[in-house]
This record gives sequence, C-alpha cells and structure tokens, in this order.
Amino acid sequence: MLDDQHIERVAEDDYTAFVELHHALYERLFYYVYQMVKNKEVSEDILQETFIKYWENRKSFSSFLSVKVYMYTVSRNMVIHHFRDNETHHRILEKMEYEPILTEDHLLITSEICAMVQQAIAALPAQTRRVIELSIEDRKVSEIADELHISPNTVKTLKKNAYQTLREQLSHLKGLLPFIFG
Amino acid sequence: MSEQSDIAKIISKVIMRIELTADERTLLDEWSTDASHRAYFEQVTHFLPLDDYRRVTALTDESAHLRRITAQIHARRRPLLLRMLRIAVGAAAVVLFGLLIHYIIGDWQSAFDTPAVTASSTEAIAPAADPDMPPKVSNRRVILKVAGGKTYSLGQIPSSARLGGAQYDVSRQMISYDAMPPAKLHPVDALNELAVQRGADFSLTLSDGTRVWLNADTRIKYPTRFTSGERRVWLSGEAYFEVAHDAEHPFIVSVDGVDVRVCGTTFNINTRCHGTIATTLVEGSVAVIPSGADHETLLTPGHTAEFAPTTGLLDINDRDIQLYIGWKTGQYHFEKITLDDLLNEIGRWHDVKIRFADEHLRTEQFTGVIGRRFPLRTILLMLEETNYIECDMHDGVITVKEKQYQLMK
Repeated sequence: MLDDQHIERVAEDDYTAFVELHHALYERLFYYVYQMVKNKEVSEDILQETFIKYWENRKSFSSFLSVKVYMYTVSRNMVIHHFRDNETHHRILEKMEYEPILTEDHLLITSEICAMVQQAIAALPAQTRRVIELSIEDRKVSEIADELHISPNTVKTLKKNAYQTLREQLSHLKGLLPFIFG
Repeated sequence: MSEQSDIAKIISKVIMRIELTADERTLLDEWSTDASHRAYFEQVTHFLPLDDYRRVTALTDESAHLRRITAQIHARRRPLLLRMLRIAVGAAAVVLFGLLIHYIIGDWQSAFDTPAVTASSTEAIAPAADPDMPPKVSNRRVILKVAGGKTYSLGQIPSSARLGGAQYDVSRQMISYDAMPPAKLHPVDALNELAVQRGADFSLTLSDGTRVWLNADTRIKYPTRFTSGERRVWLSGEAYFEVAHDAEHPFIVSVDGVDVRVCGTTFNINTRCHGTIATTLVEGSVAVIPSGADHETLLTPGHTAEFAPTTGLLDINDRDIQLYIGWKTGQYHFEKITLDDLLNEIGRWHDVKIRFADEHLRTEQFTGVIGRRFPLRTILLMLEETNYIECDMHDGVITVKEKQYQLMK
C-alpha cells in the first residue's frame, strides 16, 4: 500500500512509483468518473488527462492524501467540463432529476469504500471472500449458506474468521488508513 | 475533500463491523446531522454496491490505460510532430532537381584549419540551445572564407551585406553569387569556402543558379563564378543540390574518393553510409567516378550506388530514396541504422555530444522518421518511447543507457 514516501519518490521523477500509484488509484477513480459520465471512453480519457496532470505537477505533492484529493478534484472538474462541452448535457441533467443519484461527495466516498474493501477482500481465500462479499450485500447467513452449499454454522465461522483477518489486514495499512481498523 | 476520505474510512469500518474510536464516532455523528448524509450512510451501510464497483471497473483495462499515459507523457508534442511531417511531405513534392551530398568526416572542426578572423574581435560561440525548443536556425556558426583568406563569421554580421564576391541575405540566411560579378573587383575563378558548423545549417546559390542546402557539420568550396568547361565544387559533410541545367558545362561534386558528375539532374550522395559514399539518383542521370578509376558508373533514377573507398567496391541498390534525401525536406528517414549512427546525426543537428553508458546499445538498430526541426527533448522522448533506452542530458552531453524500470508489474 502506498504512503507519503511513495509520493516523494514520484516527485523525484521515479516513474515506477508513478506506475504503482496508477495501480493503486485507477479503479476507484474510474468508478467515480464512470458513474457520472456513464461512458467508458470518456472516463478513460478524463483519467488519462488527470494522471498526466498529476505527473506534470508531481513536484508539488508530498502526501498520498493530497494526491488522492487532487486526483478526485481534477477528474471531477473534467467531468463538469465534459458536460459543459457536450450536447447531451441537458438530457443528462433531465435524467438525473428523474433518477436521483448519489451526490459527487457520496459517490467519492462510495468509490473509496469499495476500493478499500475490494483490496482487503481480494487477499482472502476464495470461499471466505465470497462469504464476505455476500455478507456485505446484507445477505442473511441462511441465504449465503444456500448459495454456497455450506452449512449456516460454516458461514458463521468463515465470517467470524474473515472479519478477524480483515481487521488485522486493514490495521496494517498504515498511511492509507492511519487510524482505523485498529 | 480529505473529509470525505476520512468519512470513507469510518464507514468502511462500520461496514466491516469494526468498532469505532470515540473520535471517529464524533466525526461520523457530526457528518450525519445533514439529512442527505444520513440517508446516504443508511443506504451504503446496508448495501455497499461492491458488485457494481466490480462490474464497472471490469469495463476498463488498467494496463492499456497506463500504456497510453506512458506514451503521452513521453511524447507530449506528437500532434504537432505529425503536422510538421505532413508539411514536410508537401514540400518534398515540389523539389524538382536536387543533389544531396552526404559525406562522413572525422573531426571536421579541426579540419577547418583557417583561423577565423571575424568582423568583430571575438569569435562568438552560440549559447547552448534550449532542448525544449526547435533548434534555432542560427548562422552564428556559419563561416565564409572569401578569396584572399579573409573570413567572416556570419553571426557577427547584423544585416545583409556584400562580402567579397558574395551577397549575404540575413533574412533568408543564404549566400548568393551573381552570374556576372564585376570581374575587375574579384578574380573570376576565386574560390570561396563556406563552413557550416554543428548546430547550424545554411543555404547557398552559386553563380550558375545551382542551389545548395548545407547540413550541420559541412564544408563546401566553390568558385565565385564558373569559367572553365566544367562546374566543380568540393564538399565534405552533407549537402543537397539543385543543379541548374547546363549540358555543356557538367557540374561535378568532388568528395574524397569520388567525383559525381551531373548536367542538370537530381541526385544524392551520402558518404556517411556505413563507411560508404552512397549516391542516390532521384531524376535524370548521374555518373559516379571513383578516384583513379578509368570508368564511370551510370545510375538510373531511384537507385543508389554505394562506393566503399577502402575496398573500392561499388554496389547498387533501390532502397527508398527518402532514406537519403529526407533531411533536406525536414524529415530524417532512417531504416535499420545503428543507434550510434542515429545519435551522431542528431548530435550534429543540435551540437550535443553523445556518450553511451551501455556500450552494447551502439549497435541496436532503429527505423523511423524524425523531424529535422524537432526540439532535442522531443527526439529523446521519442527514442525513450521505445521503452528500451533512457537518455540523460547534461552540459551538452547526452548519456544513453538501457532503460531500468519495468513498466508493468
């Protein structure tokens, strides 16, 4: 997981560090932008410009949080510009009124949560991972047991162990999660 | 926005059923006083759209995205470059007659042995060029030596002027000679000499109307007026000739080891071609006459004769002529040339020295097109885009080494 030292490496023109940063942030930023523009190519283009903007301004950053904040801000501004330049803007606005979606803030939080949970869960063994995923979707223990063809008690045990593992795992994510999951 | 990041962490914790600290609880409570935040919190803690997150992120290819970013970072000016190339192609079509002489020379600076006596007292050395800008078409490094040995450093001359028998046009950056110079002022067959140093280029119109474009690191000697039966010039370096047609007075370019004879035609000589002198015929006909040979070899258009002075062997091929004449029209074409040759050529344009940190890179082969006026930095980035080499520029020296980082994990 990335930390402030990593950002300092990027600031010193370390392209490998930049590549790692791209890996750490790309998916969550893509989700964030895509949920607004609903177009894969436009989302990719916006993120391309966003990452390049960061690379060009890399000397200005020293903390991981500030980079993350910058990336979200730049990509959101580009989404706004995209809508401003786009003919379908009004249609999108109309659609948004009918289908109230998350505000940008809430969308950002969702992206962050999903990225964190996704990264933590990805390290779990396959069956445990599936239990957790279903559990996070608020499925009942009996439903999970049915779906995975295991006993409810096994589900409970896996869940308990999984949360314990996640807690331990997440507590080690210094820098990104400096004070939670402790 | 860092607040959202904190809130995200706290909500993750709630979702993971991990107990909150008192501070976190306070922060969350404050945040949740807003009704919309409260509604969002209820929604996301009961249903985290993790499947949606996976479905959306699966739409995109992270590696491909990174490759695009890398390419763009390493070639920021590409749209501009493509535009320049198109212009250069258009210009190539209007060139009707030409001759390119491309001659390899060891240490050209020391070969130009006449000390410069400049109009002002000191010899100006052009300041190091800005690597981010197109190379300046600077005539500061162009030296004209007229009959009698007097030399002019053209950069010292602020406006158009008559220099011996030559007319110097400062705005067009060229020297020209009248067809009929006042004979009483200048010996009719006086030899002038023009030296174009590294980092410069220049053009010249001879008294018969033949035009000559001189690449960096090139020297040419010619009479101010052609009076004998032949029109002979002496060249070392690289030049592109548009020879004025005159069947009765053949135009001869003498380079070390070969004479190339023309009446009015288009051809190209490249003597920096892997140690050979390559003569490429574009149009008309041309005779290649190796020194001491009792025969001449005629070329047909589109063919190149490569003569190796050391072995005396002459070989004829039909490679793309752009590989030989491209530099004149603004684009330098190269095909399977060694990195050593390529960087030496670039070094000539920009007056930089090349150092190989990894010697084995010298023999790596490259194929492509590079604009003659591309900023040095751009050229280096284009080379680095191969993801094979890294170029480091410091104090006018480019250090080339093998690329270290692994792009993909």
